[in-house]
Amino acid sequence: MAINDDDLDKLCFLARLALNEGDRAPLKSDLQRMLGFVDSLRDADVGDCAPMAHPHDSDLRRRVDAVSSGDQCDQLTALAPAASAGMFLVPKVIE
Amino acid sequence: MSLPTTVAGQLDALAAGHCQAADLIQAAREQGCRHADLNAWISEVEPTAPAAAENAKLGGIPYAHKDLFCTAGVRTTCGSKMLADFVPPYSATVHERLDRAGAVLMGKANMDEFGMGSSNEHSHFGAVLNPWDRQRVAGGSSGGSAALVAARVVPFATATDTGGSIRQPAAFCGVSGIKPTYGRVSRWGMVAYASSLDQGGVIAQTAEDCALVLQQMAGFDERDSTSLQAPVDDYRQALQQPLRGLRIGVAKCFFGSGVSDPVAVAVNAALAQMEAQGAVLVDIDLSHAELAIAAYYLIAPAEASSNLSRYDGVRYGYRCEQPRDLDDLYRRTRSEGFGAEVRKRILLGTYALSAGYYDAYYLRAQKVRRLIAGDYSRAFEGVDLIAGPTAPTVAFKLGEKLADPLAMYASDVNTVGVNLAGLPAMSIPCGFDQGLPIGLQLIGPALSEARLLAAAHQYQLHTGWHQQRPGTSGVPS
Repeated sequence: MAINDDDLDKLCFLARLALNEGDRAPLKSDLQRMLGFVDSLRDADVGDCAPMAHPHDSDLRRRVDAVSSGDQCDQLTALAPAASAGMFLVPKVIE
Repeated sequence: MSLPTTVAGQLDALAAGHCQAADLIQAAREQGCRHADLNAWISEVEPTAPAAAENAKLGGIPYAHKDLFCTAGVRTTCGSKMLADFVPPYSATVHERLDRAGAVLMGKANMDEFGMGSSNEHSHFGAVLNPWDRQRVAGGSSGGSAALVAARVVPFATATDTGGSIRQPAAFCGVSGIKPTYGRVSRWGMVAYASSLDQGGVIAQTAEDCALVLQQMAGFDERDSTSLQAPVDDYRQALQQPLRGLRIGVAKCFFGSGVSDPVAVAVNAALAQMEAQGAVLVDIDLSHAELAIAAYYLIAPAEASSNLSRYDGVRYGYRCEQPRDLDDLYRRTRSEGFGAEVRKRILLGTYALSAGYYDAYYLRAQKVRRLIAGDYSRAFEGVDLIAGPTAPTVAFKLGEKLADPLAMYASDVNTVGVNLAGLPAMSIPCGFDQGLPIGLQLIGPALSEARLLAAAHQYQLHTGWHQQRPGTSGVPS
């Protein structure tokens, strides 16, 4: 599986990553090798095997829909790089 | 007076009044200073000796946390620049339980960034050196935990295992490590890498110590929706179960290409020892085992790409300087905050989950995962445990595999299948090659931790590999 520059740009967009120019060539090479390696799965006879998403293979247990930890707004916004009035701050998105 | 270095030994010494918790803490601090060059700590804390508490099963025993267990008020970095200054407002269930048991946190151990690595060279805080040979890796991702126990700084350390991250560093550093059944130990407050594979466990010198510590960590936690609602066995009592009659499956695939001759010889000798103690060796077939690495390196990065999307520079963690707009904030924060290996795995996972490739890669890997789990289920119809080498070689040299990701991933060849199937497994020391430890892996069916610990303990009663420590000479019988 060949990874070209367009593929890499699309992946970086989806993953919200920016790449330095110098990182592109080795990354393309590594991804190509890794995808070539995992391509070995194509030869596996999986028949009508159901996909296994989780070792328990059952529905997740649900909790009661009730507040358990109370208001932690101040504690949590204190961790943020930028916050004000109990809200996280981000660059302006609406003019 | 020389203080004991095992959990069991220290508990006995405390109970007999031969020492106090403060002595153990001081000894750990001094030993840590002697081995500071290992770079095994990310953060050290100023511990205080706990007041004697009823039911304090680990009262006064010093330990280290792998630095992805959240600890309120103590920074939790996951070995990443992204969380280099993150101080969690809450503690992981594992930390709460160990705290309740009276164990004394000495600090947070170095690790591969977010658990992604097999050598501990992918840490923002630098590589951990192997205490047996400082030119070699400690293994990963729980390299700091394994190195601290091997160097006798602490008698035990917490660790996590997504594809071998407890067992492989335990093997490389000559210590014992147990990766419990998926869901046996709460993941609440344990920073996620790949949520269907991650599991917390213990690294210690002996199987007995692993039993003592796991007893305090294991059990149902309503805050973790994947936590198992099953009673926890009495692990220490189970240690007395002899090997006689135990059927141990031996799969040829675990001795395949890449496994060095000295490793194969040592593991076969360990199997012969177990046979001499009454175990019965049975040839088994795990026919899809060779696909485990490929399936793992699609599933784990796919889950990682989703889990790590939370690091966006908005709510906590690193944020880039002066973002132009929201997209620039996201992209530069993530590119500057994550290291190269994490970025690579996020991109691989993004690829596997993206439109047009999902069925061909991710879904197919999940189907192969079921085949692999099915192999183990069938095998356990005829055997009680499965054994083989933990890692194909002894610890490799620093930098040796950094340029070749596939060579690095190959060191996980015998460990990742266990995580895909959600099974418990251990690594225990079973020999040396060129003065470097070799690990024996024991795998059990779900919730067979007591059986695993007992088999490892019985082996350790008759061998001395686990008693070897870096800097000592001579090979035990």
